[in-house]
Amino acid sequence: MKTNKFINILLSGLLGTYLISGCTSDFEEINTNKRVLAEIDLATVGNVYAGVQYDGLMSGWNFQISQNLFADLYTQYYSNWQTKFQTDRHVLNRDWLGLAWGGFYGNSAKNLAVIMEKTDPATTPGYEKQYALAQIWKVFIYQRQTDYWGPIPYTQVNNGQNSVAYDKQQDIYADFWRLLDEATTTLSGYTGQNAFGTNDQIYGGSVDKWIKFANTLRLRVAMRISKVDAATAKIQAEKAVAAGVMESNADNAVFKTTSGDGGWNPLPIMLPWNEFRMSASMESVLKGYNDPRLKAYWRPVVKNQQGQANSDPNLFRGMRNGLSISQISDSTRHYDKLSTMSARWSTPGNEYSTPIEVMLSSDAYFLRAEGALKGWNMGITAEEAYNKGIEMSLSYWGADAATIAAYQAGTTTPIALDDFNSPPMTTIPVKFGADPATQLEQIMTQKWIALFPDGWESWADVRRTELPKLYPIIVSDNPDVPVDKLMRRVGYVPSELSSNADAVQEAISTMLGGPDNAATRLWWDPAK
Amino acid sequence: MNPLLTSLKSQIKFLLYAAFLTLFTCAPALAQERKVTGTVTSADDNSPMPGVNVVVQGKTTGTITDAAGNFSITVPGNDAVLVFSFIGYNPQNVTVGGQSNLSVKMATSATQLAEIVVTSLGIKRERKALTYSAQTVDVARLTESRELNAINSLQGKVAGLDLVRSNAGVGSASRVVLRGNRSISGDNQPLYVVDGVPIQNSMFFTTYGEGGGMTSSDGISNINPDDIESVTVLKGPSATALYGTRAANGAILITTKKGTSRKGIGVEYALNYSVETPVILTKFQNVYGQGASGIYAKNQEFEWGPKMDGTMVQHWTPDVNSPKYGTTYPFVAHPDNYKDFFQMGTNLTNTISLTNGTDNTQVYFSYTNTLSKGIVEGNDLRRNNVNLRINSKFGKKLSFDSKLTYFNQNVQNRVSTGDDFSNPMRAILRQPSNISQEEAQTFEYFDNAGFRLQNYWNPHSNGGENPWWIVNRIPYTESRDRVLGMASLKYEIINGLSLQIRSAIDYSGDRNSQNRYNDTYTIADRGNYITNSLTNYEMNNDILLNYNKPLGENFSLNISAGGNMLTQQWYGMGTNNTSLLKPNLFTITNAGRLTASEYGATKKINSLYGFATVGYKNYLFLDLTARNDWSSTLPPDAWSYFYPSAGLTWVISDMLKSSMPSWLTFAKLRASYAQVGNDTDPYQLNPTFNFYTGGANGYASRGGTQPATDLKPEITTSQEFGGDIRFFQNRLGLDLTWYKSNSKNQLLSVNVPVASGYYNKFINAGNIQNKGVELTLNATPVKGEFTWDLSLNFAKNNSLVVELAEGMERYNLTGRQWMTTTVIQVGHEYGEILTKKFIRNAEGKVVVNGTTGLPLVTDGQTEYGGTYNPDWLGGMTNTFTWKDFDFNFAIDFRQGGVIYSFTEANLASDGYSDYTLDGRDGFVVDGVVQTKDADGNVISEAPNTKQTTSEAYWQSLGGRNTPTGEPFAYDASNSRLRQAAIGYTKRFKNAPISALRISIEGRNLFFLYNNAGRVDPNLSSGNTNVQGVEGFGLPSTKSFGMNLRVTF
Repeated sequence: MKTNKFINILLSGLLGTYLISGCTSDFEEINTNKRVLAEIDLATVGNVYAGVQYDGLMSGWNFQISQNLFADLYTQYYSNWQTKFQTDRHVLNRDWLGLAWGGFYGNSAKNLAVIMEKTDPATTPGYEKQYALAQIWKVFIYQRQTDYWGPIPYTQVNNGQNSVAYDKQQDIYADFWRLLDEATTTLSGYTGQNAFGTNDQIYGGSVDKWIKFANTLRLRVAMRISKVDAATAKIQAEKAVAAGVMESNADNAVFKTTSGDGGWNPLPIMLPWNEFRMSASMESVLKGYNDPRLKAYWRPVVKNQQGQANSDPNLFRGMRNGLSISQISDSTRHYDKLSTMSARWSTPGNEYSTPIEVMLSSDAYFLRAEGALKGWNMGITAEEAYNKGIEMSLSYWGADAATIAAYQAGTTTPIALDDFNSPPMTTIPVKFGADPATQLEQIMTQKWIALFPDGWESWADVRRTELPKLYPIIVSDNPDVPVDKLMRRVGYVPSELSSNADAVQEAISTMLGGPDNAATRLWWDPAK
Repeated sequence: MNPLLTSLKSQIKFLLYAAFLTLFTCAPALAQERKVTGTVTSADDNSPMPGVNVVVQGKTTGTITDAAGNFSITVPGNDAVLVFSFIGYNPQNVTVGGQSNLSVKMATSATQLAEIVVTSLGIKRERKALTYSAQTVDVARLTESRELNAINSLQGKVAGLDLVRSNAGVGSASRVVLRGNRSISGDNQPLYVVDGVPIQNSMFFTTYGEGGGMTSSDGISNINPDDIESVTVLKGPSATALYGTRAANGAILITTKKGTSRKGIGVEYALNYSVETPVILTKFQNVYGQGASGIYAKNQEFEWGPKMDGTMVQHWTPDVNSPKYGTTYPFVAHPDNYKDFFQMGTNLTNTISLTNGTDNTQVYFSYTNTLSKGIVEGNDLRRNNVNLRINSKFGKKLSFDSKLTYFNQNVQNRVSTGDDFSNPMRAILRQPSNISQEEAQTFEYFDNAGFRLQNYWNPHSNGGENPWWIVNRIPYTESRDRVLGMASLKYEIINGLSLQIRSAIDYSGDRNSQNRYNDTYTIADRGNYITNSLTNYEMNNDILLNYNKPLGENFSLNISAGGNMLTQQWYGMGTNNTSLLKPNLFTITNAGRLTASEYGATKKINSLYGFATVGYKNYLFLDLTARNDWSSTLPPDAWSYFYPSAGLTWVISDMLKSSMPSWLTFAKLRASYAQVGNDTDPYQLNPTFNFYTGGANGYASRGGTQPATDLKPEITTSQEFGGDIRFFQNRLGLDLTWYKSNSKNQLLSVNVPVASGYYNKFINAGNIQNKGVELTLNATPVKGEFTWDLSLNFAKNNSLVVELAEGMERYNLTGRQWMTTTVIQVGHEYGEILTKKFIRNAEGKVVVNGTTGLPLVTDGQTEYGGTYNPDWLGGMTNTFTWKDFDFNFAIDFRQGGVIYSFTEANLASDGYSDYTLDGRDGFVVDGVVQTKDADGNVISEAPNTKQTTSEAYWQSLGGRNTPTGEPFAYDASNSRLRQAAIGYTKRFKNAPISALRISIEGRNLFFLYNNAGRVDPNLSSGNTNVQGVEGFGLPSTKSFGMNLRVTF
């Protein structure tokens, strides 16, 4: 240091001190990026919240890599047509999952923590409503995340450290009750008011709507743990219904898309890539029930089996899941001979207008139907709730009352399919059955249809109930999960295994309850 | 003598005059002293020689000649002997006798002419005094055996210089690394310094690995080879401590031509014309055609179909109005499809240069026009270089030097690299053999509504396109305008003490755009228009005070001190215009949806530096340098950082002089130690929150990098020892260097668990060590009317990651690529490649999945798959001259390292490669099937008996998304005949033409060997630290050309 100083003095003397002192005066100014914000003030919290809402749905560019290539296939909404993809054959592509993981923590979780830090009532009075909305959204997005992997970082998130510890799934779920309790308590003091205004792209800031959302979410979370902790599940579910869950499509949580760098619906962007098409399970069920949602969800094939341009508005076709590359390549299964999604999604430009379904009133009714079957006090019978769920879903997708009534009374059953000599996916009709097993299968099958295209939630139901009775996949390239078994979770990702190795190994050995593969069941999904 | 050399020599003389102002102070006056005047001229061309030392033998009295070669000196008496000396010339002793006006002619010393090298800050020095390795390159080769990027001509010529070209068509960038990779996050490329001023080597786009994308030209390719007078490569930081920060990876110093003081105007015209053709290494199978599972399908992108036996099959065109629609055609192979896709590339360069000058003012002007056509249709380059140099002297004390260079370049259809869907190579390599090039060339049609549509066998393919559609309907154009300006004033305060003030700017403006026509798949409806523009500005202001003085008879001192202020500024804007309102009208106002980006930064570095050379008896030299930088990119308490260097040279032969054995001409030992500091990029210190469009009011998000508030500058310490020994009157010379460098406190952005709230954070960490040897051997085995000069070079560099950060064992140089991840690991070499491999049992046998019969592979890119570093590099140049003819050829060697071919991973998976022929009808993978218990332990093993097919096998291993790298890794060792040229030079007397030179040359002619076989290991998709992987690259080319140079 001494030499350093000496030389400085020497050189300064030679060339004039102006060079040094005069010319570093603007250094800090120069090294400030004026194209970004230096901090988040309270006026900007709403913009952060708007971004978290969007990112929390794992939408945008994260959608394919996190949802479409995993949950959407595992719940058999779609079958994979891209020869280069193998997740439909149960291959656990951890590299892709790395993007799903990073997309969640790097965007939604991080920014949500920023909001909660800025609006924390303990330090910043006056933003209680906003804080409560962030709490509700936290439950919604973390439930999705933990239901993919099991133990995940939760309490230590945003610690800024080189290691982030994981939390057990049951502990995370336990915290969900706390968050929902606090949020609904807070919001009950602000009924009729608005929080976040137009930055809330779901309810436009309506506190009342968010209270219903929170209650419905409580019901959903309760049902998820019904196998592993039936007592808590019952208490929380009954509490939710008593407090008031969504009851009409006016209560639906639907995200309004926009045409910015963020805010758009990813499905219309992806559909021209011709990477996925209607599944055989969808085809068997929707055709068998003469379901009006067949046309609401799907589009007639472009070409018939003979390869001619199709003009028949009723010609729809799906494909079995888990095909080998050669099977996909078979010209009888060309994507033009399979149904893509309906014009609602497949019209170019609709990415900026087609909304994203977040949680619908039909979901609330099907949860109540399932709860009622369990003997919980859901304020409604299982059959009533079942039929209300169907009514809500069909009317949301545009069916009139007569169509709905006919559908509810339907006795037709899913159909067999030519391809791979597929039998009917299942044998139940729509009309509510007599025995509880049939009733449960009907509720879960209708819920599966109604949740479309939310594969994230639907795959969790499929794991929990093994319903609907989906087709086995054709080929499995994953010895852990053969064709007739369900994918039970996804694996930890390379970035964690390298940059957070101790924490993830700790989670695998002490929290997960099995090897880090796709056959290991989550905490709420015990093998009975 | 070569006219080029003559002009070079006189220019060197002038430069030396400017550089070496020597003062000999007066000794006590003696009786009989009188004044002698005279003129010193060159024996070669009678031109006056400025700057020649004139000393009275045995005294300290001396002077130097002025610009006209005149001198005036007081001598003690008639028996006084005057010693005339000048670097590069034989010293002359002249006895004054009774003369009062001497006329002295000095002859060049051929062996010493090359001994002058340009060192840091543009100071020319005698090579023998250098304390470090500096290699000078023969510049004549830059303009003949010409490359569009002049730097490519250095390949194989400089020991320790590793050059990899990116393959983005004509005018592509190159990556140069001297003595290994030191920096983890920097680009590891040397600093380019032109006429003492650093220039930017920035690229608009650069890509890496398999992913590819758009890769643009680099900055150094903007320098006109015709203007280059000399190139010196300073390899270690020891050589460049004085350029500071930016020269931590070495420096390449380019000196451009100046005017000369002469009678009449000097005119030179040069013409180069060359043609180039692809070197095709890919091997196709050409037996089975389009389809899958042995069945033809007209829309398939695989060649897993039936044999191409002439059977009539359905035509693929989707154009219902085409006469071919719905018809059949014979299913036969077109083995030349790939070759036929390319055209012959051409390169035409015209250069005219003018020089003129008086004793006081010299002017050099040149204009070069380059027209180049690549091997891919539409890939053209047009380039204009204009250069004006003016030197002037105002009186005796003040001299002025100025330069203005304008560069303009337009590239049409720059070829995208790697897996970019706009890369035509991706499409042509996978064009089924049964579809002829003639058929594919009908790349578009119009539907009944008048829409332009792509004529492709698999309409709306995800990732496939008709290659001819890509080259015609996804044009990517780029243009650059660049101005380099420099002005310097030098004032001689007193004899030996001078002050130089210099200002230089480097301004470039880049624009590029890509037009994607409607029906370009997976892009956007109605087309897409992408534009970018970027301006780069750099200003250097510096001041240098130099004092050069002999201290008595034994010592000399050359001391300088100076300062530099560097300002860098860049600003860019980009738009992406999708859903064009009017299809195929490419303008921003036609955007259905517009997204825009804006970026830019400013950085300043202020520096003070000083250096001193103390010489003892002209055989022992001690160099000391010191530099302090203040960089705006660091935190205030780290703005300032200091670094020194020291070097010692001992010219043994000059000490021993006459006692040396006659066969030993020259011997020298040198040692040096240096440190170089480095800063970081702007804007790394503060937390940032991005704001972008989305929702009703915009989205805000916290940045993904944890800001670093306590960054320190990075420091590279290097040591170097070397020797230079020459025998038999310089007929044989050997230069050997050993070096070691350690780069510490590297500024890294490291991955942190993303749940921490950040993807990465900035830290100071690491210690990357590079150790190596460099050897250069020069020999003249035959000398006389026929002369044979031989030059050999060899370099071996070993890198070692000594340390990263606490608790950090591995660092990813990039995120995961399709097939590879490039990492550095503690205790390993820099630049390791991780990939997926076969799972093997203890005996190394491949483990096979018993139900599918296919090999099991590792889950992710976790396995070590070699490094991209060569074990050693070598080069050999032979030059033969006989009368007016000369012939030379150069060979380079690159031994070791690995190259991964993403191309092969795809060609194999899709059934195109020749080796996919094996096992099409079924084969059994040689491996074992394991049975495991519930805990995953292997209970038993049995040989695999389950049959599979070539199709299933390669589809499971290759492909785009998660290929297994192991079967697609190749040894990158290769050697190639880099150039060969034959030339004829004729000089005329009393003719309008004074000299004429004609030469023919070939470049990159052939491989002597290429262990990689199917790929060219010297090509990559971009010039980042991610190397060793190739993806859908253009084939390299060989070229033949002729040169004509006329001097008037």
